[in-house]
Amino acid sequence: MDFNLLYPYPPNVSAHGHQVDQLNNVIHVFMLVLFIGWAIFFFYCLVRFRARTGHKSQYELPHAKPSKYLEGFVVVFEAFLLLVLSMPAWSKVKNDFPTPDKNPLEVRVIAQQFAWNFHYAGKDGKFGKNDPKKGKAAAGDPIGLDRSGDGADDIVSAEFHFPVNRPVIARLTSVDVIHGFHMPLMRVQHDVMPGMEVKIWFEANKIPYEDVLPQIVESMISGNGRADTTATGDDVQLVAVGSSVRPRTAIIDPGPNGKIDSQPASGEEVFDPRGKTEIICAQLCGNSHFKMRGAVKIETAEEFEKWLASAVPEVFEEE
Amino acid sequence: MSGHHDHGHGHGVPKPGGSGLGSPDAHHHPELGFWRKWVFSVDHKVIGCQYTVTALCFLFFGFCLMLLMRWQLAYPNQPIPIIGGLLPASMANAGVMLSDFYNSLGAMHGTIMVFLGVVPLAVGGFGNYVMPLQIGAPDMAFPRLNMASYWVYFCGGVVMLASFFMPGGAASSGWTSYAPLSVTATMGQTWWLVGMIFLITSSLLGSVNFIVTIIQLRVKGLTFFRLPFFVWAQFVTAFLLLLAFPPLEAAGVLQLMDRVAGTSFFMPSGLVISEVPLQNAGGGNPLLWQHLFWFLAHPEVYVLILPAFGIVAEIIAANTRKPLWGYKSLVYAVVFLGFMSFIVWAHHMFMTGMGTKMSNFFQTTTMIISIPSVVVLTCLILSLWGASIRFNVPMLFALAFLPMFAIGGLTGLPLGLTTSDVQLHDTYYVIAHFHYVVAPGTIFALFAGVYYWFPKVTGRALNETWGKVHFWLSLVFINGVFLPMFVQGMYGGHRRGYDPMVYDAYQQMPALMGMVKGISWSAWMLGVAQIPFIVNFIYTLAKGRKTAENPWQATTLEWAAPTPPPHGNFATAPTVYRGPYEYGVPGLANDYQPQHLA
Amino acid sequence: MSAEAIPYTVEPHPDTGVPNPKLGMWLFLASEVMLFGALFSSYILLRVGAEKWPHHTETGLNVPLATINTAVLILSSVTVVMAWYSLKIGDIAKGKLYILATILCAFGFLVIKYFEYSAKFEHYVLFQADGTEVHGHVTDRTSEFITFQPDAHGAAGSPPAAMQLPVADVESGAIKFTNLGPWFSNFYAVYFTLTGLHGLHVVGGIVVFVYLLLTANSWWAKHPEQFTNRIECTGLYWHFVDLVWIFLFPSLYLL
Repeated sequence: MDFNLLYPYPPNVSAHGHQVDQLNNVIHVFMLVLFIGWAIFFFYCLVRFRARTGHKSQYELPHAKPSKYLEGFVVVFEAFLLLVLSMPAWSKVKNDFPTPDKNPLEVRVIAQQFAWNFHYAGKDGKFGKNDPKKGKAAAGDPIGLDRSGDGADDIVSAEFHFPVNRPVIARLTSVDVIHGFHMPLMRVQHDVMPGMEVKIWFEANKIPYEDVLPQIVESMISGNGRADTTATGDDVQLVAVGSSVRPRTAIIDPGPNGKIDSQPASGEEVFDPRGKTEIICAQLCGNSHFKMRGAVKIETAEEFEKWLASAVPEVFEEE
Repeated sequence: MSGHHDHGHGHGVPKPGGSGLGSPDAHHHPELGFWRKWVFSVDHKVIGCQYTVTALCFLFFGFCLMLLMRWQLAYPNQPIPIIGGLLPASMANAGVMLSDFYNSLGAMHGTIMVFLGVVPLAVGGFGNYVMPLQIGAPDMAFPRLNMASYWVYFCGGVVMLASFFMPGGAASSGWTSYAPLSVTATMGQTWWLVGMIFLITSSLLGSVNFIVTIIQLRVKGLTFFRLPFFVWAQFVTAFLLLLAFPPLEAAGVLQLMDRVAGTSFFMPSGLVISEVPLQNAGGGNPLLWQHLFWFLAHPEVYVLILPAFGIVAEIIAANTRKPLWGYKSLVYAVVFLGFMSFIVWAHHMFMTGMGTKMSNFFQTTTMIISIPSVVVLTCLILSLWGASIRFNVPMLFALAFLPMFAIGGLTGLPLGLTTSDVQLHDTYYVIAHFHYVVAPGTIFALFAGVYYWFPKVTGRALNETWGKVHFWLSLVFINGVFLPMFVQGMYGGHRRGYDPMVYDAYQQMPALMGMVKGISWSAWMLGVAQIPFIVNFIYTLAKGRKTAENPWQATTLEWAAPTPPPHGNFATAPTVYRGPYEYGVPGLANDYQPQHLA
Repeated sequence: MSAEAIPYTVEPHPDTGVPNPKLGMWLFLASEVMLFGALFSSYILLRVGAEKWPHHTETGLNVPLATINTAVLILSSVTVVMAWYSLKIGDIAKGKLYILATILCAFGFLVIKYFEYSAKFEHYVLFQADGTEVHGHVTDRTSEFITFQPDAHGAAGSPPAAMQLPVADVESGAIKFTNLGPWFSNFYAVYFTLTGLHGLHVVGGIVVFVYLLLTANSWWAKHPEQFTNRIECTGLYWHFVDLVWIFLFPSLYLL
């Protein structure tokens, strides 16, 4: 990410995110227009009508039409924001869940003080039952998953993996207090309530990646490391970066064949360019609320299947 | 009025034909002892001063809590200078603030500023002192109830302060106290609930008093549409307090029951805290708390702003030397605002899982409620047209209120629409939005009121030069605190976060962390900027320059009473002959016509 | 501040037609409507959203006793009106008698409530491993054991044997054993909170009536009209307390 005062948003990697950003942009332009208009009038009055010798105030004023037009304009514009830009987009997010023919990935997100757990259904596509009362994180089973029956092939992970260009239905629940699930790059936020399961859906259409190319070139010149980059947007290979690198998040479009190759030659350290985007806990949940960060990995379909295969039967990865 | 200045004060001093309304005869009542006169007084003016001083102290204290928090935010996990070593182990470890303590500071900052600072000052302080004078009444309708309101507020404040010393510290679940976190929190939360019950009761008693006083005790000729706008603002505010607070009182009782009696009003079944199942009946609903809380807390924010509108309107009228533009529009707007404020509350809950029918309803009412706010702001700005503007200290604060409130109000728009709120909810954008309305908004209006009415209360004027220093420094630094927060929020900076560096945005953009530091330094400088005000206030009380009885040449009735007004306010009840803002009337010798002169 | 100095303390305001205290009381009652309204709304929300909620025949509440209580409160509303009327026609003796009657009715209400509440607190439930509930009473309590006597009759019609429950197990939660307090279920939570808050309002009313009764003679001598108004205002409050009970009774006991 670059600090940009005129466009202070994190990168957007979701399919619907542009609607969120668009509404924000339109509203802020509207706000600026109104504010600057008011401010100009305000300062003009302060100067022109300041008290000074010989200047008298006007007791009777003609009824000002402009203010009625201003009110009318504000009403119409707010109706536009509401009915055109906000309600339809929100309705899509809340009501238009992906149908089975779109092959959505269903993941259960189980929040607790102070960690995120992601429960995948495994090959059988059915979720096993879990009982939070039986959860023991130290034993590798934070959600108390019943491994008999449907739960035999389930995966419980501390890292949220999901593929790009495929809708994801997240079923959010908490075992203790209210948490908040916010992925800024995906423009997705929702409260996570105990005692209920709430479904949300989203789809990533880009993969965030940490743009370290300039620093690689720099370190090549200074002799600290070796870089072999063929960054055409589809394929990126990176090796051994020095400590002078400060990663920034940029985005790359995986392209039609969806391939990103990061296989290193032997003996070389690989710096995976795919940045881990994050989940921020958005609702105060206790004394470690501030560090309830969830790791997210958005990847290609191939990589996702590879991860699913490797994640079973190993249940829980320590972060 | 301008020719004769009647410096009457004290009881029974005969006035040789002065034009002020002299003091009533005191020989009906025996002289009261010190305790009955200054501590357990039933005089609305003494009570108003008690509220003012207590609330100003709480405002300062609540502000200091935030200054502490800003250290941890700017310099995470570094020992607090000077006082770090003095903090006990429950609050800090080797001078570094603990995250529990940080959360307590946050929750108590919000609670103290809203319930112990701003509302008691705006309503209990200014409302109590000025309103009865502005309607020509001898006192409130129920003076003893008024006294009771103050002391119940005081007790509530003591309980809140005492909660810091409880094991586990003060409440730390946010000023919003969402269940189940608040139900499972340490003892400080129980004290918070008890404190809130005191404060709510105080407000309820006060609101009954205000409404009855305004309806029943207006003097002859003072019809509703001749009331100063300040009184209208207090009137609507009192209705909001009367009708919106009880659901929070109910909710507080329910949460107390959950905490103390093991009930499960807000606790769903099957909760497991740190791998230990909770031993309660379950079956409750955390959303019930949110609905009950926000049913009050939304009208509460209008309680925070309406008195400010009232104060600013008075000061603008007096210092533009012409009537307010659109008095009737202003009145209809705030009455409509009052009604609407009861049906927008769930816009604080857009992310809880409500269906689109409900969110569409609340988005719509939220958009509608922005209209009266725009009307009020527009009327006040239009009042500057054709004016003769005097730039004294109260007017500077009142003028600054206008653009500051505009920023606060406008930035509510992206929060009130679900699609944009999804990215901004619970971030620093929200903090910036509401602080703009309350801090450079309401609090500036309250400062304006202090500088404006100080001469009436004490007979002395606050020093203008130091007042201007206070104003300019405060204006600059308060914007330095809150303006960058909008950007911080848009990048995804979440609130109530003890250590910002946990998250990507801060790690990857040093400029953002630099902004956080800048905000902290602005906050500390803002604290320093209050010193001229505090010194000015105390010094002027003791030794300040004595002033004329109506230094602003204002028309409203409080300026017709002696300075300071004695017990009973007016010797004979005034009669009102005209509206409240007859300034700059053509064809008169003076440029204003007080309401009470025939 | 003497009453005369503040206008309309006793005489009605020409526009509103009421003196200050009466307007104040109506406003206060409006806020009380919001208070009990919030509690009733919470009750509705919790009940509608609950998986299971006891049928009114299985709540264990004593409907006949509560019906008597309802009659007692209605009677007390009648007596307070009679008190006001007596004062209006100048009969202080009758007025004081009716105030006393109101106080006695209110006390009667609280006494009956006491019996209702204590019955709940004395009634224990043991949750057995198979999910069944055994209801009964505690007959003895030592530091080690609680002696629990189930109520239900045994197969032969004779009372079943008492059970010795280890205190340690009960306190740790290994054995689920509790009495019918507000913690038992959300039904009981709602019941105790609603009736408890209502009961507190009854106590408040009693305090005010007692004060008015004790000071009746001196008030009647100096400010008879104001005293009559005070009885009227307190009566208004009392009718509201009665009205809340009229809603509470069916919604908790009958529905």
